[in-house]
Amino acid sequence: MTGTDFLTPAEAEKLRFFVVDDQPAALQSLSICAQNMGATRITKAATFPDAMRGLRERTFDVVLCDYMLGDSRSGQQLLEELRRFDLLPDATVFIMVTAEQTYEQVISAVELVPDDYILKPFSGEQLRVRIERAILKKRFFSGVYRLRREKKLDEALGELAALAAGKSNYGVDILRHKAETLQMARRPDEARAVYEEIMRGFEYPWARVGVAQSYRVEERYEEAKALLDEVAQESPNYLAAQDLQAQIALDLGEPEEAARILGKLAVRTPRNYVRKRQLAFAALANGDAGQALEVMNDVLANDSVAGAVTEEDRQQAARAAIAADMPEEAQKALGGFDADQLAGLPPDDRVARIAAGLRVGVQGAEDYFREHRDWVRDTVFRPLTTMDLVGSALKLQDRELAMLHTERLLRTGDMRQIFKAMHRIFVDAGLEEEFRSLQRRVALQRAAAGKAADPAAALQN
Amino acid sequence: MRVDMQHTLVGADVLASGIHDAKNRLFEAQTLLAQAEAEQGVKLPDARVAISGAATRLSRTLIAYRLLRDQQPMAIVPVTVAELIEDAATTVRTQFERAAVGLTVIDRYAGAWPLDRTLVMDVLVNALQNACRHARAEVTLIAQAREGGLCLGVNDDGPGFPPALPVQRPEGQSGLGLFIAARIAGMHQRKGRCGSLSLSSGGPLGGALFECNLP
Ligand SMILES: Nc1ncnc2c1ncn2[C@@H]1O[C@H](COP(=O)(O)OP(=O)(O)OP(=O)(O)O)[C@@H](O)[C@H]1O
Ligand SMILES: [Mg+2]
Repeated sequence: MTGTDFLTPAEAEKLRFFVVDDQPAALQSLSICAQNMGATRITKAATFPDAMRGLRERTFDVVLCDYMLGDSRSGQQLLEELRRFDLLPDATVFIMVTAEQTYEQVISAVELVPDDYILKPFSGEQLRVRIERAILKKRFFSGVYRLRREKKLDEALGELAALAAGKSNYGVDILRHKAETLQMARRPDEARAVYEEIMRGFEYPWARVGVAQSYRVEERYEEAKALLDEVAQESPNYLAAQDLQAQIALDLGEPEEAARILGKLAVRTPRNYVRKRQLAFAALANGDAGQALEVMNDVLANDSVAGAVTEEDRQQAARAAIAADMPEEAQKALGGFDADQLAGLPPDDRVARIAAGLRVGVQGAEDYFREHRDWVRDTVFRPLTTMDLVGSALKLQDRELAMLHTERLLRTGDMRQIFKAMHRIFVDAGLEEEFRSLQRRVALQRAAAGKAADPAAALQN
Repeated sequence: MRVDMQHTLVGADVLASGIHDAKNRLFEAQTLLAQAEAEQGVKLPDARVAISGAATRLSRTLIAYRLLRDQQPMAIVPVTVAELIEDAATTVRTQFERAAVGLTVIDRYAGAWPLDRTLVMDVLVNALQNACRHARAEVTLIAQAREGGLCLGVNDDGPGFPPALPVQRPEGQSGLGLFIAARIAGMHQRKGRCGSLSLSSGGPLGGALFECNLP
């Protein structure tokens, strides 16, 4: 009826299954159930790390994962980690298995959903039907997925239009993909129109957050905030709404509010290290270096999936340590300063290490900095690295260099999120007046050029 | 060691975790049964019906318990209607085969509808189980758009609902199935409208006609 019954036992035999459950008996049942529908190629994993490893090493067609994985780990976390490290090919079907009949609560509260979920107990036939449907749906959208990966967004939209013109049961999914693709293409007004079309059917929290996302890109912050307040009130479990609230608070130069929201969320999702990084950023921007350092140390110690912790994370920890006046902690995060090792590094990593070395008081770092001043002056760095650089320059009394990079940040609008922390650096150097007049000058120039006033700067005045 | 559970668990949690555990075990029983059937080349439909009946009863009990305490959460997601009714039919298939009652599924709605899949599934499974119990030979399950809503209908060729419709009796006296079905339908709200149940007799098959209207 909904399937084509193509998933015969002979077809099921070809599929590579990956089955995850921390309870041995349940793991056994799950694989027997897969066998009952014809599967023979079944790999099992009993723990979260084993599952990550298994899925990293090999490709599977179907993942059956129990929702509760023990050790305060869930199938949802596994799914999110797999997506974060791009370990799930577009064609792989991920089905959550659970005996929890309020699981739909979970589904409706997360941004990233599995392809389907199935409540225990179920038969091999029921499982077969679910897998078949999920495969059909994957095939239906495969062109869209591929084009989006290749960043051919216009073509993806064309493909979606073609799918919408045909007959299918996937109307809402097509619209959602269309809205997301428009969002990726930075076409917020069109994305918003599509989300609003979805909402005429039902006001799903994800659609409302989609509208708020568009508002954010359009810099219509008040509308975004009003909508998100409503969603947070009515769907308190839909955390993506609160993540976006925090993002907007950062945009508006309100890191305190962002840190407050993210701090509360982090308590609810202690193993979500992506969110913890956001929290550390907000805390740092808010001048709460102690909290930023604590959170980053948690990330460095516990975000244990291979490849999860990056150079940028170590720099962030060092940055927080320096701001918290704990140079040894900074060295612990980045290692000692070694000029010879810098050569091969990307520009941002070089400057971040020089800055850390400088603040710790390594003579070699100072020499290196002075020697490479022209390069440092003429290179454009990420906002946070620029902040490191400005702090270092001021420490070496190189006011010109500090002003130059600060001006660049102000000009591009990249200053908003870290405005408060940058302001602090100038205040500490006894240069608040200089900072203020630079800010005013750039604001006037931006206004003359017809650019919107930087909302963060406006708020701080 | 003093075990003080009262601080950490409330009644609903105790019930829910017990039911959760029981359903996990029923899943074990069901898969082992299916494996044995395949290996021995036998069919044990009564055992299968007993297991799925126990599972349905457990989840319905928990839903009813939560509803009575106004603690049943709702989670509305877009659900493909064709898949919903197919799943409901699959759940009761063995029972219908045992009773030699035919089940026809008619899907007249293309696309998804915003609803709570688990709760509406229970509503449909109950209506189908009821129909199977009272039908002579035929039952239809039909999904169609009606007056801006979605109508999920179950019709049978039995004697029809008794004159005093159980759902109209005071709370607690009716059978659990229809009582919670009415509550679940009513909890579905959209654009200022609530869902409702309609129980009548007649329809194409002449017996009981169960209709769940979702806004
Ligand atoms: N299709 C039907 N034909 C005739 N009578 C019906 C039909 N469906 C329900 N009834 C009557 O309505 C009563 C209540 O049904 P309901 O589903 O609420 O409870 P139940 O089936 O008796 O118990 P439970 O659903 O909790 O297992 C039934 O006991 C039966 O008398
Ligand atoms: Mg009943």
